[in-house]
Amino acid sequence: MIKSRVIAAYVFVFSVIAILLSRYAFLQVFSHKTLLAKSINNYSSIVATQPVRGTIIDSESLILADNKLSYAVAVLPRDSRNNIESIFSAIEPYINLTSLDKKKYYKQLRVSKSYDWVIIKDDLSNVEVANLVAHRYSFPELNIFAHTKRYYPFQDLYAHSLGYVGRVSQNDQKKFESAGTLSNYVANDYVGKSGIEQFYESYLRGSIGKKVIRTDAYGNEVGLIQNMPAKDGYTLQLTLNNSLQQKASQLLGSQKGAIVAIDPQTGGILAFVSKPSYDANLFLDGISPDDWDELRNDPRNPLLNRASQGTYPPGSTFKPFLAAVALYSGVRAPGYRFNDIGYFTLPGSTHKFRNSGNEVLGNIGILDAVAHSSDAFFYKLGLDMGVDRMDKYLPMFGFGQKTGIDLPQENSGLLPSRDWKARRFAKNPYQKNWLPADSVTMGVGQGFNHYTPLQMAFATSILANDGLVRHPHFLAKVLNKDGSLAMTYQESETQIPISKADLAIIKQGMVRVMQSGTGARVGAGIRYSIAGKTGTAQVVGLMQNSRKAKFSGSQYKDHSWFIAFAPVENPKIAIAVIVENAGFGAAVAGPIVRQMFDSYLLKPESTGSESYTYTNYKKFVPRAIENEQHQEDNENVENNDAQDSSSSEGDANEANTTE
Amino acid sequence: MKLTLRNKLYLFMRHLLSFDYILIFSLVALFIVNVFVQYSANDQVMTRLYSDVVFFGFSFILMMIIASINTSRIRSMAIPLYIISIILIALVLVIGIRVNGARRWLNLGIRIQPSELCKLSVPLLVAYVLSIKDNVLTYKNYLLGFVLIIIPFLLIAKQPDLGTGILVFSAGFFVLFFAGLPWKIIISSVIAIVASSPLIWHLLKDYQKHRILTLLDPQSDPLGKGYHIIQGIIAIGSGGIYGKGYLHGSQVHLNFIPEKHTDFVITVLAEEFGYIGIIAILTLYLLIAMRGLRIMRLAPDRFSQTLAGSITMSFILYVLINMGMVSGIFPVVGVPLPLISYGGTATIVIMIGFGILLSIDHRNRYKDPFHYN
Repeated sequence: MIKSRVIAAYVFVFSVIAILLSRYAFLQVFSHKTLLAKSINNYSSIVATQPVRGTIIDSESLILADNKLSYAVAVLPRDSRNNIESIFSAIEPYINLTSLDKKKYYKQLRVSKSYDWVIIKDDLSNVEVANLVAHRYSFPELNIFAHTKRYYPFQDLYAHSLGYVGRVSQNDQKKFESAGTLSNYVANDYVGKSGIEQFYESYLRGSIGKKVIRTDAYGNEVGLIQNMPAKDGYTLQLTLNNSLQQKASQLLGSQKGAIVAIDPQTGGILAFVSKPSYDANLFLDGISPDDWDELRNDPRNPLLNRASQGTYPPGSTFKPFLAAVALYSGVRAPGYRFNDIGYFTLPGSTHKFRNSGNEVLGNIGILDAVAHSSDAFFYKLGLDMGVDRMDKYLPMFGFGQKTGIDLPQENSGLLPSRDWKARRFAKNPYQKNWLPADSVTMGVGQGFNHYTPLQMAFATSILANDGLVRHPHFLAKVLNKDGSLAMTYQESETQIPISKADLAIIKQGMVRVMQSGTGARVGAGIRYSIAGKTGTAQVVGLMQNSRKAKFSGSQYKDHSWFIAFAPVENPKIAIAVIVENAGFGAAVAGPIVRQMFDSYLLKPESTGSESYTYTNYKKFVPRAIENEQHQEDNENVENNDAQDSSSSEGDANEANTTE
Repeated sequence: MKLTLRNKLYLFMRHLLSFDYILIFSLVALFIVNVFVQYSANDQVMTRLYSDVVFFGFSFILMMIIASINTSRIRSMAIPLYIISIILIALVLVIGIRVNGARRWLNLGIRIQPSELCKLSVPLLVAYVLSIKDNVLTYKNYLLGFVLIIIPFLLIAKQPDLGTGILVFSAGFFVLFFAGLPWKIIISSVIAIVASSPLIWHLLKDYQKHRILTLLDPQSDPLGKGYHIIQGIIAIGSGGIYGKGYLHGSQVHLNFIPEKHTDFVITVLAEEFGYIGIIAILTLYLLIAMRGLRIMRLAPDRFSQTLAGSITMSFILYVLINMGMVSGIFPVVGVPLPLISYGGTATIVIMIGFGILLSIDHRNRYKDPFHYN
């Protein structure tokens, strides 16, 4: 045997062993950490579990924003990227798939990550679900699942206060990113888009859960590694009173207008109506273009929140507040007397600012000036106060200020000042100076100033409260799922500096409005004490020396205002009502106030048992917190079919029992 | 001379005791590893394990039978075996069963892979022709050996099955090498092959090129050809030093490893038993190779020496190629891990090879006290 070949053989064998030992040492000892991480990454995937959005209930625990069960069919982007059209045509025989559904699919796909289920069609009917499940084998990539979604049982009644939720958009994602909450949402989640839904999103949303599951090489779930259950959103209890809200809506009927009722002692909003309204349910999964066009092009502008974003000249409802600041600033003394000759002229001018209806009231004090709404009195007061004093003292009642209500948007109205006018008419040298006539018209709530019905109700509540300021708000309590109290709304408390004696004069004037003044007909036969003020806001300018409108036609008719509170000695409700283009305040808005107050004050024990035009609403029933486990089982991907249908049946039954 | 029954019994005991039991027990140890690894690789399904045990038992008996055959009788089978092999691989090209675009199988009642047979018949014949006369070998002898190697190599490469072809070629080459093929020829051939590699590259099939490219950069095709390599490496590396524990390999049991019970079986061991497992199995392979080389050294003639050398070196080459391939230092070629991978023909061929080794060794040890031979 040749020796060199034997040595070579041994060298070969030992080299092979050495090469393999070092290669495996490199992988198993030195690269172990990174490769172990890769192997963990291979088999674990993270699945989001959805929290249930908190419900919103009224002061009597009636559910205003509910969740309902809905069936959807969805697909993962990775399975649909290249052949979505063929998937569409494959399922079209079984479900009614519109071009709008397809459009929504593409829209949602843009904001989806590769592991987000993208919904092809939501709100499947029972027949559609049955059809799909029966033919499931033909489209293994599709997932048919049940999920909860928002439902507004009162449709249009609360659209302007509750707002609505909608699917997360690219814009929303940007907002979440800057707020650092992006990780709390997945693509087909809902987010509050307006109103209370938007304002209290952080309470309502809850927090998303994370489940780390073990998957095999084909992506099938084979086990659970880690589970951080989702935390459901809080239930929000509002100060709104459904009976009153519904009454307000019925009273406005088909007229345009707004009603805001506040509990002066707490600042809690009791009713918040803006008419016309729209069905908030339309916006849930993206409003259809037809519905959107209809809403947007409606000349009655149902999308406008007249209560907190619509501004109107306050008309005569402005007078009590102007009188109050006049007493406070010393421009008028409580004993001041004035001779109302039916009109007012500026010194050195022949222009007559006339009383409404050319009435001549004669010698009157402040009290009667308010009670009978003497224009002449307030023309002169406006002039005597001057713009600077009005601008300085009227913010005490919230004029020109945001009320701080818990809504994402609010109009601060306009309390004009010299600076404002100079800015507003900067290009017009003839108009940019404040003129005495501007102060005169402002004295009767006309001219430049205009405010929201919410601001008027707020100002009324301050007056009713003897100067104690309670900022208006919707939220009363934040409740846990089991009904226990999580948080209570913290009311702020300030006092305006006007003396109670001065305020008492104004209040007395407003009481007299209802007894013998402009609101006497409204106040006739009333069983509780009431204070109010009528108002008629002009829509267009007046013709010289006359109160006849320049234009005729209903859209130029005056707005009918009414503010009031009751009972006077212990106010429980303060209200501002505006009915657009309805004429005199006493004639249209006044009777609405009367009926509102009657229903609220004379039936204090009303429990929401009366019949509504809405069906499907139900009461909030606290539930013991035991659902975490139940939810986990729900999400088991492997047994999707069986589990989804069984658990959803359970949910549906639960929902039915309370109806 | 007439032997009594007592004599016969004595001879039989002597016969039995003259085997290399270190080698035999190493093979049995390897088989025990096989059972454990296959049980895990098959996700604890017993059916395949039963056939595995039965198969090993059959191969083991076959090995012992061949071990008991006199080496000279084995030598005399060289020519017929070679001819049969050539006929069979030629037949494969004509009537072979096409699987995945390659004809490698022949259906003769049972499906066999004739190229496996060549792994034995080629070195056997080359060893035979180089030991016809016990004289100094000339270039003519080497050239004849080379021709005998290259014919089956080309036929197998045509299937196409370059992996097996190279293994058959190596088996024959090892015989030439141990017979004393001059270094200058070896070295100049290596240089020639390297120099002509661009030409060889041109002749390779697309899938073969792809495999080599994938080896160079597995990430270039992470879900295609590179997938096997990447997942294999992850399985091995994630096992670490101590492994994830028996039956707890996530890569293996969640189906990230393709062919986990055949070519990629080492990943099961590496993931579940870690580097300790790798050291253990390489120690067994080393022990077997040492016994094989010892048999080669002690063999009395050129036929036995070169054949023993070839069988041992081929065995260790399989280990190198398989474990190197799975761990990403060689291209993916279909070479099973000796006696650990599940696979009928390959196991039989290897066990027959060890039968021949034991037979050669037996002649060293067994000194017939009655000069029976």
